Amino acid sequence: MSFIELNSVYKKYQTGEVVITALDGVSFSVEQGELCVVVGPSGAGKTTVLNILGGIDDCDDGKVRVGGELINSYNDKKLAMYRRYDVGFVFQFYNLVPNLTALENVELASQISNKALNPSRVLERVGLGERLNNFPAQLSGGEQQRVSIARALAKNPKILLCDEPTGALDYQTGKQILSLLQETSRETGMTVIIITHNQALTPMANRVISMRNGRVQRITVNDNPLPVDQIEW
Amino acid sequence: MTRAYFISILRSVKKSFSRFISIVMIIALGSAFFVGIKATAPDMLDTVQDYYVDYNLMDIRVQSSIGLTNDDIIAIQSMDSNIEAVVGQKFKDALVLVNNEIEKDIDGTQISARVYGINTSLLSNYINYGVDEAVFMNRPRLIEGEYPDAENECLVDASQLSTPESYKIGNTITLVGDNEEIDASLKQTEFTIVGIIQSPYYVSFERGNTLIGSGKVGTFIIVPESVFKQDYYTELYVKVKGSDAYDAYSDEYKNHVAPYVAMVKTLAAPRLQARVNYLQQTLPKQIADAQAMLSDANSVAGSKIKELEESIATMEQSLILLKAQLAKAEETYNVTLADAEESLALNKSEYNESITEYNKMLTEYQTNSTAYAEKYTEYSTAKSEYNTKKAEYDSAYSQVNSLELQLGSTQSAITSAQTVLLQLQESQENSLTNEEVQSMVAVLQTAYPGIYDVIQNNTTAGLAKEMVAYITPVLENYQAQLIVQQQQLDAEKAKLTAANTELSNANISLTAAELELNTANEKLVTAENQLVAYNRELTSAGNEITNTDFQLSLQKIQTQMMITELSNQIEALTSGKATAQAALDTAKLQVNATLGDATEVYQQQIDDANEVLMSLGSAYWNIYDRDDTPGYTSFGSTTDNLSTLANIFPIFFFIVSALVCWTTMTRMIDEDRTTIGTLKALGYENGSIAAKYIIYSLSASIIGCSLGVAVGMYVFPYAIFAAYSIMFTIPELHYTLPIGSAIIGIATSLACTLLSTMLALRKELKSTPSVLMRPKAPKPGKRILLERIRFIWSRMKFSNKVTARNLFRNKQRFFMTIIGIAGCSALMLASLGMHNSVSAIRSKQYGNDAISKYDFQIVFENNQDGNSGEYRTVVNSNSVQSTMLISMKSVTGFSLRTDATEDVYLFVPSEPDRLNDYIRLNNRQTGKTYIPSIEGALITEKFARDTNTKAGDTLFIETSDSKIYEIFVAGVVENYTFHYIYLSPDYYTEIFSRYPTYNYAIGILNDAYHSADEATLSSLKGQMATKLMQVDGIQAVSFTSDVNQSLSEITDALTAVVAVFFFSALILAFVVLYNLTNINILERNRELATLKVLGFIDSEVNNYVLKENIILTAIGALFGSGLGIILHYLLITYAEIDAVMFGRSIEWYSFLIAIILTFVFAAIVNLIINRKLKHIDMVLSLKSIE
Repeated sequence: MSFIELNSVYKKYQTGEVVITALDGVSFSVEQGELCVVVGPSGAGKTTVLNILGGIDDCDDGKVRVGGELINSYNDKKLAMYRRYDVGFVFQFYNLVPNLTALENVELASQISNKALNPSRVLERVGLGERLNNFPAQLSGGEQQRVSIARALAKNPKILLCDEPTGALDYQTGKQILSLLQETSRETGMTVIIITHNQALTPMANRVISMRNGRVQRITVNDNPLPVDQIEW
Repeated sequence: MTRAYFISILRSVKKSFSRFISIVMIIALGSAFFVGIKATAPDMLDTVQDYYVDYNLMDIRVQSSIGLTNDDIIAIQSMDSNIEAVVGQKFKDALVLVNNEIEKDIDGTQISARVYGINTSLLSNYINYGVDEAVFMNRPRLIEGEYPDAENECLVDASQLSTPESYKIGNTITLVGDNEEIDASLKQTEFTIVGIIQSPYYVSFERGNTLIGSGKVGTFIIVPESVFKQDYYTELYVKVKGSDAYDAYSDEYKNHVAPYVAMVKTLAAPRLQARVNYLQQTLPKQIADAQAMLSDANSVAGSKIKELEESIATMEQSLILLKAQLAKAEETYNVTLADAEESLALNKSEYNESITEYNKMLTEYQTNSTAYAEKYTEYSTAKSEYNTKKAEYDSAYSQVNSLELQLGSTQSAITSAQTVLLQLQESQENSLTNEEVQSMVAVLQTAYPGIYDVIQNNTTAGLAKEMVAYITPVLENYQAQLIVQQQQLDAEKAKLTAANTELSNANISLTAAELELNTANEKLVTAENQLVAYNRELTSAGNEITNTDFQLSLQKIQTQMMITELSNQIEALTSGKATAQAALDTAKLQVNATLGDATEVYQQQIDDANEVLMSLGSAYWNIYDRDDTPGYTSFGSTTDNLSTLANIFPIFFFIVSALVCWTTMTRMIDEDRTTIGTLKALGYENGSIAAKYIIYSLSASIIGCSLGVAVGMYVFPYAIFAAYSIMFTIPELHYTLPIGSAIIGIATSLACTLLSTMLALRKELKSTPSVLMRPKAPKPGKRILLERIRFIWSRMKFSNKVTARNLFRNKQRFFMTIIGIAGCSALMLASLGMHNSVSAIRSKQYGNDAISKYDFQIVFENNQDGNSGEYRTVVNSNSVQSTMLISMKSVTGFSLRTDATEDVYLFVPSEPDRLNDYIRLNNRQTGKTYIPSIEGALITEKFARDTNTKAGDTLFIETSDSKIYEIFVAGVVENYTFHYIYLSPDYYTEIFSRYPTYNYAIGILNDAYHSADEATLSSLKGQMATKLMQVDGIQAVSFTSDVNQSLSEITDALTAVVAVFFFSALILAFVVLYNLTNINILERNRELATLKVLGFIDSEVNNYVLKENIILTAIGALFGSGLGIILHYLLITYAEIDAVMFGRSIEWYSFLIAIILTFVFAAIVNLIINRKLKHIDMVLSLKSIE
């Protein structure tokens, strides 16, 4: 049994009279410690998959298993606990609390986790040892995204979910962030799922899931992923 | 503006309907409050102005100490063509009984009334024909019942405060003079209440001062003018042309009337002189007249008594006559009848003697009778002997005869037989025929009856021989018999001869006896005749006696009847005389009483006239304008106070609602940031972009304002006036749209919303579309002051640090929230504080350990000293622990420092050292206790404040006889109801140059009363009052607790106003808190969603927000308390009503309630917000901003 298993997952959004089918029978699995890239054009259903996996959205049909637990049967409270202990989220727009310093933003997450890592050490690891007491507004986009990753990592989650982590960053910074994620996966054995529309990033992953129109088109397992440094786009 | 753009405005209203409504509500509340409170005073003024005009309130009032006449009216009338009308008014002050019960005023003293005469023809013209004559001034406004149409009917005052409860239609009012004869002034002193009225002359509960009773006019009544005996007017009312065109209380009005007041003043001296001259001439004559009337009354009374006495004398005369008649009748009865009886007795004895005689005669007669009987017996014997002899003779004779007959028949038989025999013998051998036999038998038959049978039997047809044979023996037998018979006859013949001889002898003796009997009989008859004759005589004598006796009885009865009749007559006459005597006594009493009344009335008239005569030298006119009408200015100052309040209070509402608007609009524009950017990018001008928000906010505020004005202009004036209507008796409030303040209100709220919209828009409109279309850079985090204090900051929990930083992140919202909450809790606190202040009037004045410690107050008819009987009764009452005599009089107090003139009680304790046992005389601020002394007067706090007086200042008082005295103030003491000036007897004497007179007593009940429960206490008090009221000379007994009770009515009404404020504040508080918190949540939606994604559970997210709210609420409540204290101070300063002082402090529990309520609201709002937080959609919130 794989660490993450999606089995015929359906999701529809209804806005007024328009029904949008976001997921149309998605099935795939991801092994523990893998770095998985979910790739596809806009509207393919990537983010919906990620939201369902992260426990911030639910599916209409199908089964979502993480570590053997059927998370789509969880109630709100259990979902909150699942998010708290098992999931780390990295957003495209970082979603840092503007009123808290970098360190405090990380603390915000680490304080509620039961196996949290030391916040300053996590920040050092992402290369922000000098900027601990800066407010988000005083940091660059890349730095903010690092804080965001640090905040996710500090909880020491089982899965790290990243939604277009480089979407709002320039090329170089984006590369650095992706390296950081790859390193994290490799060093900590954390399962990392990255969503991107950039096909060029796929070589960095152990497993590539291509999506289109709410369906999985192709699942490619890459036994020798390339380090990010060697990927150009 | 394009159609699409317009649609987008409508859509945004629809989309954010709750936000739109919240702006509408906030604006509505603010403007309702502003306009409502602003409108109250003008509404009241407007109403009262219409009242003054409709009911024709006079402009100038002229009072004279010696009365006013029609000449005065003409004189004033003819002074100026602008004097529209002048009318005379008569009034008289009297004490009042309702249904023969003493009525008490609100302060516990016996109530006095000013009795006004009303011109019934003017009234009737007005009410029946609607004739609106200027001369008919101060018209009564009928509330209930009808106008009077008889002299014994009256109208009473409708004031809730000053009118006793017993002033009900159908009850009887009796007027009593205060040590004077009210009859001297009024024809009628008993009136039935037929109507309840208001008068424009008395708009408040104040009724002014009087010379009688407690010195305060308690109430007024209106009776037909014809009830008044006086020929002059007490005061004149003057109406100035055109005065109705000006608002009462306005300067224009005063300026309009002032010249005429001055003009009338110039008339005072000449008119007074004329009146004095007239009175100098007429009064002595009046006095003489009264005295003549008095002696007339005396002589009338005298002659009436004399008449009665004469009739009694007549009665006595006839009584004597009757008595004489009776005596005579009795004599007749006794003497004449005795004589008659005596002669009757004599007759009777004679009669008895005659009876004896008669009895003798009777005896004689009886003797004769016996003798006759004897003779008769003898005669009878003789007769029977004779009869026997006769019988013997007769028998012998008949024997002879029968024997002779026998002899004869025997001879004839023999003859016949011989014949037959001869026949037979002749025919011997012949057979006999039957016929022959038969004939022979027939012959024989007579002589020999048996023959037939013999023959019959023996021979049917015999032979003659046989027959002869047969007859021959028979014949022989007969012959033999004949011989015998012949012999017997001879013997018998001898016997008969003997008998005959004997008979003759007997006959001779019988004849002798008969003779004797006849003699005896003759004698007897004579005796009988005699007896009968005597008897007849005797009977007639007896009858005569019986007759006489009967006559005598009859006469007796008649006489007896006569006596009885006479006695009856005497008795009747005697009782008649007694009745007459009683009638005389009654008549005497009546005559004396009437005479007494008349004497008193005439004496009163004479005294009054003399008094007037004495006062002629110091006669004066007082000319007043409306300001001197009791309560007139207090209405004006109340509306002034209200106007001031209206300027303070609503500002809070406005500030708060403007702030809420601003925040809301800012938020809306923030949300629409990208839309604004897009529109800009599309080429819309700033103006048309702004138009959307301006239209949005303006329409919300116009709707809100209209709603607020529409509701506010009714609700607030209604509620506030409802409270004031205890003090003011005016018609129903007119509600007018306060155009001025409505415009100000609408303009202000429009300006507020517009300004806040513009402020919020300003930055956005300046930015370029590209900036706008990008997500707004979150507000940078900032270090806060607290972080510098390392040792606190480092010890703070992480979540608290977050809260602390969040609090100060958005300063605008921080202050707005605090101001909003503070404003609301200030309003609540001020309202609650007002409630405390109003309650304090009662609790601090009358509650436990309060200022008025005395339990009861007694009013005496006459002045008392320590030894007076009435006072001793009170002192010795076993209910009473201690008492003190006091003097109390109502005067007008004023100072030169303010315009205020106040009705104030001049209070003189007989033992000032003990006064603190009954009334606590403390200064509220310093706590110093005062005792009235020669040093100066003690005055109560409110009075001191109204007249701006401190210890060491001087004051003036005007007594009811218009004399003014200066008083030095030694101290100011705490007091909440009415105004008092406490004077020691020494100081009183120093000021007034006379000794105080004590006709009141205050006292404390014994401990039994203080420990009794409510019900027992009230019955104990009832018993005590009843007992004391039975004492002559005690006029009234009142209990402090009852005064307290009646005060509660005022305080309850004020509490109602406070409640209006309170609930308005409550609603505002809720709306503000909800709105601000809601915006706070909306703004931080993304942040809160992030927390949820990070795995914060609902309660942790709530907590994250709640902590901020709690701190904001706490800070707001704290500021609100401070603000509330200020607001409360302003309120009690400006809203205070006359004659009471509000409590100065807010109770601790009011702070607690205000703060707790603020928190409760915060909690309710949080509960609602929590639901919202729970439903924050993480997916939507975290989506990149399009």
